[in-house]
Amino acid sequence: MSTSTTLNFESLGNVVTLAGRFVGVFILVIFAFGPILQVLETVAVRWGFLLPDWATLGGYAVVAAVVTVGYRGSIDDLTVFCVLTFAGSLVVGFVFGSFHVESSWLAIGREFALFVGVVSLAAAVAFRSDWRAVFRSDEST
Amino acid sequence: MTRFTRRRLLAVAGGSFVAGAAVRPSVVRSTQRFDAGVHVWPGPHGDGRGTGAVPETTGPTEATVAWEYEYRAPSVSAVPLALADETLIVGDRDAMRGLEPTDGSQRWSYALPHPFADSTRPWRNAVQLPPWIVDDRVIAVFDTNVCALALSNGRLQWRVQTNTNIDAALVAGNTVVFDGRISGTNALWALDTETGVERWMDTTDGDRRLPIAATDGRLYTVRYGDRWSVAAHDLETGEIDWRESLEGRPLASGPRAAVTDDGLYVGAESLVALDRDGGQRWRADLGTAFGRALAVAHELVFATDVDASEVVALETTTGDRRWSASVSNLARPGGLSVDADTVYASTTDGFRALEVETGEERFRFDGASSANGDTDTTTSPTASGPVIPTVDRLYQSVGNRVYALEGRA
Repeated sequence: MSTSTTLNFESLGNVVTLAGRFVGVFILVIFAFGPILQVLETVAVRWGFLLPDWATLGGYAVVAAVVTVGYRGSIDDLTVFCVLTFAGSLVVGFVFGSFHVESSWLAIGREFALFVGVVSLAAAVAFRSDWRAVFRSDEST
Repeated sequence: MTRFTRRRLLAVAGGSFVAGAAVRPSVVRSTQRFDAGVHVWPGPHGDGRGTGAVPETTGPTEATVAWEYEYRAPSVSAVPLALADETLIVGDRDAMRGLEPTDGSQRWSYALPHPFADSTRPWRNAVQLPPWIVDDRVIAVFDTNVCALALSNGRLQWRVQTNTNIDAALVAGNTVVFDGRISGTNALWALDTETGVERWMDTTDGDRRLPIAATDGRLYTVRYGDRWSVAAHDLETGEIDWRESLEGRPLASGPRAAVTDDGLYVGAESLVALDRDGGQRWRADLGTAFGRALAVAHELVFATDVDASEVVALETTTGDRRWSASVSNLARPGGLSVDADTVYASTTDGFRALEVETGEERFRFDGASSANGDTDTTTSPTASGPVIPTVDRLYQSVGNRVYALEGRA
């Protein structure tokens, strides 16, 4: 019994790992970046375009691919960042209210500013704090 | 050393939240006005009062076609004309178009893109209601979307999405009011026409209320139910001042009303006159197929009785009939409009121009029948809209065309 090709299990493992990472990041991105993609859609409408549904999924996939390839930090930090961004968007929507109106530059700018605020706050907590120590005191000692 | 320090991120977050809090809806919303505006014919029946009248204007005394415009795809549910000084707004089935009033050439068009459209499925959001012109923008309803377009070039300025079809929209001053459904509850919604920002929302009783007329800071609505009722709202807050139940059936094709300093005139199976505080003054029975066409000017209410093929003029104070004129081929629902000395009654092939004081025919336009070919102008609500009178031209939508008519001034 012999085979003419040999499987490179290490490469295969890397591909599977990358694919799994992509799927995980994709899910996180949907949560975290949904609000900003809605803002971008309203910008498109303002310019006379209405994006089809698959374009939204495509947008998520592109962002997830960029993050999967480009992000070299801890996946735990990324998870916390995305969850905080999602939760923050909900809280901000409740606290600051919504214009209901779309495609007015004022409303677009406001939504964008609030999203930047949420992202900044989430990043400050997720990437720049010792948040692990809160939950895993044994690791910090 | 990274640029994204925690301190900087927190500063950005704080700044963003302060900016978001500062740009509240109440801050950016324009100051509410209740004036009728400056445009010649800003809505389907004139201004927000719905009187269908320009009593200071003396129109031409005969009608020859200056130009005609054929719809790309006639709308199925809109009476589609509004007129500003420089632009005639036309509602096609899936696009708003701005025409040059002097020669009918198209200056711009706007179609709200459909999210599921592609090269094989050229779907569009349909124009559902007549356009309104307010200040320098056009208010248009595409399916479930209320949009503001620039009057000069048709570019989208803002859009508000609802999750149900909109049955009626009315512009009063710089406020557009329409019926909508929010989280399963019927609501009356008022938006600032300049920014699209909400002014108020009224969900009283959870009833479906349709705006029908407005003047002097007061909005009038109709509610459908076992019985139908008219209500008066404060246009600043949406709160109901009074409501009055009326007898008879409401019209399936939608309400028609006009308001003046004297009172409110509402058309259904019959024509009912109410005073501004809701008391019923008189009621005129005009047959079972009351045409829904209505105009008020010169202390007269003009209405059509389609069963009897008549246009009638009633005294606004008593409802007594001053004159009636036989007009064949009255359009249904059609339209009536009035200028200084003429009443224009829409017919299936054009209109009849009648003397205001006597009802005698002055001139007519019936040239639309041949141009429209086999178009069934008796069934489509857009078959024959009201005539828009100006000093030198008359504009009318008949069947699948828009006509500009001129004659001796």
